[in-house]
Amino acid sequence: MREVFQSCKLRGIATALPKQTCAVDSFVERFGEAKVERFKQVVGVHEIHIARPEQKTSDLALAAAQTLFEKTAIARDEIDVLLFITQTPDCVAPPTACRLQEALALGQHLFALDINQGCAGFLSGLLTAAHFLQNPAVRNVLIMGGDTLSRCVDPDDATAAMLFGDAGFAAIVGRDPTATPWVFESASIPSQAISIPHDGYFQMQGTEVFNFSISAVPQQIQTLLADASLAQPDLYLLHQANAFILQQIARMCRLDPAVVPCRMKQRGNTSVASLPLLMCDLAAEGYVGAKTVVLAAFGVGLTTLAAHLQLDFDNVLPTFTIE
Amino acid sequence: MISQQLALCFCDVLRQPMPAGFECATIAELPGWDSVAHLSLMMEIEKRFQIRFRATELFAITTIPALIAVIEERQHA
Repeated sequence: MREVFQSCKLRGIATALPKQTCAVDSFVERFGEAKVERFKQVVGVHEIHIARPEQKTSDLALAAAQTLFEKTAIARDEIDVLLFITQTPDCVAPPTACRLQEALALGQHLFALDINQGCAGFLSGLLTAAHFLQNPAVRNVLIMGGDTLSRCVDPDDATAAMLFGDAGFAAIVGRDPTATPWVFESASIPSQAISIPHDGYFQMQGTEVFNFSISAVPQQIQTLLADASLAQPDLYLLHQANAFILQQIARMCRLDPAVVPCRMKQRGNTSVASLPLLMCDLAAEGYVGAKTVVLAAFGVGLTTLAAHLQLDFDNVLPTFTIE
Repeated sequence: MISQQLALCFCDVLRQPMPAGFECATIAELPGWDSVAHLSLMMEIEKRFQIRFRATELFAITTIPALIAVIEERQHA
């Protein structure tokens, strides 16, 4: 489905990583050198950040939001909607969004809700925020999220154990009448290819997910850009799923790899946080100013979203770690 | 010839001895196979045989005879 929104602007983004890291090489004893080496070569991950056992997903997102409020000129009472997007909420009830509303001392006028989404979650959040902003009473939407998938993986599942890192993010979407339109394409192809059952470990059918990623995502990007009036993108920021998948998508879309950054080596796949983490890592590398970007996210559902919008890196805070 | 080179490639990547009946095997049934190993194999085959697979072919090629056929086709293209 194609949707176009006027006057939406990303006013700030921050991402927090847990300080503790785990080198992929540390899995050699368990899985063998050959498997670990193949994983690093194909998936492109050498290290992941892991939350401490007592550290909840909301702790990571909370740190990101607190930093965002400290470093930007946005007041807490200007937030009218809080979205929390995760597959690993703190508990079944109450919604983690309500806990975060309290922790951030946001006003009681605010509408807070959780969204159950994974790798496509950040774009789901932007799309939902854009819908909320069609209501003139909504001034700003605070999107928070993250995942602590490292604790959902089967320790004997080599690919999952080495792939998923933990991270949390916060982003504020507000209104700007001068902003270029946000254009979204979204689709859902129901499948159990990625799942986390109750009382079970994360499960993924690698072959099906690969085939989905290299067919649905390039097609969606091409559909998104079929409108000739859209500005030529400076960057294609793709969900950091797997380095090989990113290379294949870039190849199928005939993109210069230089405009499709991959920063998985020290991060892994951080699920819902991967796009904001990528943006914050690029800001830390020195990206500044406004860029026309295509964002593409895909994963559990199976869900794919792509967006064309302008991202001002001056509003993106460098990634930071927390104890 | 392709079959022998391919067998060596599989042994090197999967770090397994050559299984009996390799020439008519289903790739996913070879010892040491998983989806990451499969992609690693395809990358190595591209390098050794100087060919390129289309992304949609990577998991669509499921048997050694089919793989040999694609390599032969690309080498003569």
